[in-house]
Amino acid sequence: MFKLIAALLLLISTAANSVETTQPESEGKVILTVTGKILHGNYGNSARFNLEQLQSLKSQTLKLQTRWSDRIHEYHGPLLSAVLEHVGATGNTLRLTALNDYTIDIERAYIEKYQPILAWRDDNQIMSVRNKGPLWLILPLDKYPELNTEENTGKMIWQLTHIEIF
Amino acid sequence: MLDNRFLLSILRFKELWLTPVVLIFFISAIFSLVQLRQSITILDNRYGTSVWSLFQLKTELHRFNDTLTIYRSDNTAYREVTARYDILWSRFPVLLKGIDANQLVKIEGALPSIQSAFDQIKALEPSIFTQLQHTPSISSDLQQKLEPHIRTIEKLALDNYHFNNDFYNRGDRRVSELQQQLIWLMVGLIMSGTLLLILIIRENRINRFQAEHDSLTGIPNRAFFRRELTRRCEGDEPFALHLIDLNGFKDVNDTLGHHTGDLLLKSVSDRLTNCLDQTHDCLTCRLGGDEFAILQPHVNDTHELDHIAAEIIQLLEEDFRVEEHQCLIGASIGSVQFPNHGDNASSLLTRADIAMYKAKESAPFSRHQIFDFIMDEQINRRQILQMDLREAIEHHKLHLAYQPIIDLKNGRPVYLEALLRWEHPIYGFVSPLEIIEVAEQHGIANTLGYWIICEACRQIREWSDNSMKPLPVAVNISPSMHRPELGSLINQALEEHNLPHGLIWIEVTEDTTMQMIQETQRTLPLLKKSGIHIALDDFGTGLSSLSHLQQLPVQTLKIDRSFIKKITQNQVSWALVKNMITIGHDLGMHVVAEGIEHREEAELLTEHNCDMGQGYLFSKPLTPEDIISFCNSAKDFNYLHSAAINYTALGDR
Repeated sequence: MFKLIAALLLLISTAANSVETTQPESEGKVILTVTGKILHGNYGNSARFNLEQLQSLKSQTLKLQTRWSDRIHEYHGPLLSAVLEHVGATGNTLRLTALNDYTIDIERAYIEKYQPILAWRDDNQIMSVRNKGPLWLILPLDKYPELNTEENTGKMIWQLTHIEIF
Repeated sequence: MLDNRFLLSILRFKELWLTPVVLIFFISAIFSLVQLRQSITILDNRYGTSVWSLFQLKTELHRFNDTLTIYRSDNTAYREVTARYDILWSRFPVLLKGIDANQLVKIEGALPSIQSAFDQIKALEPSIFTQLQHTPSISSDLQQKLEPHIRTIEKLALDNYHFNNDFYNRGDRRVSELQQQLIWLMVGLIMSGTLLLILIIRENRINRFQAEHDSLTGIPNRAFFRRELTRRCEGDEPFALHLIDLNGFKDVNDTLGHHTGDLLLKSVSDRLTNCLDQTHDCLTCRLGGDEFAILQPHVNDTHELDHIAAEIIQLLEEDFRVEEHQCLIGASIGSVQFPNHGDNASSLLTRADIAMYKAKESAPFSRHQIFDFIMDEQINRRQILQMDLREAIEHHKLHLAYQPIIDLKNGRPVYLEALLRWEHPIYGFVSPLEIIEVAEQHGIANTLGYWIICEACRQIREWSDNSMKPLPVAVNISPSMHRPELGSLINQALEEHNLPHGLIWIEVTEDTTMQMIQETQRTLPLLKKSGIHIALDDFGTGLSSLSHLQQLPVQTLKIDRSFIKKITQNQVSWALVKNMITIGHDLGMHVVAEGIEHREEAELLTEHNCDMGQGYLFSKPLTPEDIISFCNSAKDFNYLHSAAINYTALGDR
């Protein structure tokens, strides 16, 4: 199973590479793929985003401390709801998958309520894979204290690369 | 009323058991809170992800290791090696910082081992990104370097898992222990809470009971009675209300003390409740003092009222034994019937009160009186009269009429009796007796009395100015005018009108002097001292004893008309009158016969030395103008040709 997914991942990354050959290397690299029930795909039935595209969406900065850190960090990135709006998502459930195959499911209503961001910048540093990049789903833990439970922080998936909507 | 005592005893020891109940409640509540916090903390501690993270690290180490193996045989997999390397790298900071790191501190050597593995991974970076790209074979060297760390992390992951598992288990036990205790605390909370609730309800009931029951007798009080009366007035069922005022209770209280009085009230209430409430379905209430009220249900005609009232009187007239004392009391009962006598609580109460006061007139004898609307009219009449009387005095709407008192020896007027006249706009002629009663009841007797004195003085002055020889005028004095300063007031009034002292006489009734022995014994001598002539009115009808008569400084005795009326027919009356004349004379008084209407009477009285006479035979009460003509036309007339008395000497006795 693991190998199958790893191979799939590899396939995706190589496929992305082949498409992006015309675009500048650093800017053009696909960091997020959205598939499933969407209306506006830009690559067949899926939508692909490079950093620049994500930066153009409505974004927010959250200053907070997560349970994996010893201090407050400043996280910045597009609102997940903005991404969904951009792709014309019609489904109500999202399955988010990370580089290490970690997967979580989130309801659309949950996103609308808490407005998490897909952080690509941590304290003015673009997040590398080593530092939970390229994208990290950050919940506004500071604004909603009830999010500080295992159930909710477990949803804060990092090294996010793929969203499937169904 | 056993219930009442029971409740009161509960009340008395309330503090004793209320304190522990409240204590249990609060201690239970506080401990529950602490327990709950502990449970939450324990559950919070379980909230740890280091097990998961460490297994993730182990997985990523294996994945990287596997990718290196794949890369040796398939050199296209280099990109995956670097990707896996980065992902592996990312797992370390998660364990070395934040909450996971805090949890791992508890396992000895865990963090240094992880750090050392991380350092090794970092050390591999140059090889992976340079040499490895071209020489896949060095991957086995890298794997060798990784090997010990993989073992260490694997072991650590397992240790951490067991450690946490144990911890969870312990935590579970502790939580279940805490929850066991919580059950007991909850039992305490619920029980003490229930007790408190019961206490509050009880307290409420006791308060309500106390608010609506008389503390001495334990029977319903005025508040309860009012509520009950109002409630019954809202229904259609006819009922009766009896108001009872005890006769003679004050005497018991005064002579035997309040303690005995209280015990007597208790006995009264017991007797009433036992006999009436239980056998006739009545409701007995104590309204205060020695006043009780009884509500009698299902009353269709007044006979039933009489029946119950008779029973009440019988109950209360039977003697009471209170602490070796025998108490004899009676009852004045006023009764009303709903809806005949009123359809609301207030009117029923007022009317029962009126009836009761009517019954009270017969005190000390027991009497039952059912309300009659005539009584209401009487009360109304009194109300109107008292209001109008004040106004009448102020605006001189009262008048005095004068009836001459004739010297029987010569037919000449000796003095005049002033009689109060009031023509009321509604009621017409109001009798002087009623005017005085109203004035006495409403505290205007003094004003009225003083007005009469002044008016009499003014009139004497007027007559003198019309060259009529001044005759003394006798005014009637009501009880409340018996004050030490009366004499000087009279003399002052005379002086103000330029009249000599002695022209105003005073008439007091025998009843007044008897009822107010103390006052009259003080004031009458003072009056005499001030030179004021005193006549004793209505003699023979009152209760005066001869010895008392002897002490009174009275100069004139007026024999009541009721005796005079019969002297020509009734031998007994005549005998009495003869003796009264003799007694009067023997005590040095002049004697007046009142109410002479026939010549025969006058002759008989003159024959037996009665000094003066008053009555229609001589003259009815006259207006001041008619007095002048009466005096002018008065001729010497001797009924028995006896010598005229010297009335100027009447002042000295």
